Amino acid sequence: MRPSEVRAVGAWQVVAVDPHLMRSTRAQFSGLLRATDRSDEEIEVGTIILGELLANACEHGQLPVGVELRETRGEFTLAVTDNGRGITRPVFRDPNSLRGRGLAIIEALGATITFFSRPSSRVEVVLPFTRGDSPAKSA
Amino acid sequence: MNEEHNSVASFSGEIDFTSKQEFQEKLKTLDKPVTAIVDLTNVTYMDSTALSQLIWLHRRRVDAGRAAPRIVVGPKVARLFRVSGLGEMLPLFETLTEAQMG
Repeated sequence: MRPSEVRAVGAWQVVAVDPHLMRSTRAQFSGLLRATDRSDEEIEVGTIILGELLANACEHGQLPVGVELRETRGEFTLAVTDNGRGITRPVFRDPNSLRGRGLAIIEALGATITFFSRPSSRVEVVLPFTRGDSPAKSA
Repeated sequence: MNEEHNSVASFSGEIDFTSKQEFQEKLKTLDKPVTAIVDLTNVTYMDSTALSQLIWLHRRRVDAGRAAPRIVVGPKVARLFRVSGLGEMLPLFETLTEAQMG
């Protein structure tokens, strides 16, 4: 893949678990998706996914948490990195369980999740829509 | 002491893992009423942390022999409930009036 095919859309760093910071990060992310002509439905799906990744990273990882949105040939990838140990493989629990629901929701929305544990804990999610899609193909 | 017959806890704005404690405390007021309604009509965003708190409420009530809490799902969070499958466990309603009528 040529480097020029990958476009950085936006990046943030979450340095504290603060309600205003979380809201602001979600709002900025929504704004960036809107700027790429995503539909309201796609923005809602993307924001749910970001929220679940942020919650996982902040609750189970270590600050700071890095958030990056990039576009590759019309496909949007959301990457969330933290300084925790990460997980080597995903564990999707019973949907009626009290934990693990966030990742199950991301999958149910039609996104693809990839986990990395080195050099830091990193989760990459390919969002379930591409440039040109409308409305979202998701649930 | 007589138990309250009906109780509604209404929420608005965004509910995420940073507001878990506050959400949890307010849900606890619904542990004992005969009918408990969680009104999420004006909630614009929520995450799975909040869903987990609703499951806790459901478990506490059902374990105590009470009816499942009724959840009024606003338009902004309907998708989250749909994809989470929570509707199979909790009675969901589109309006508060519908929830109050059961």
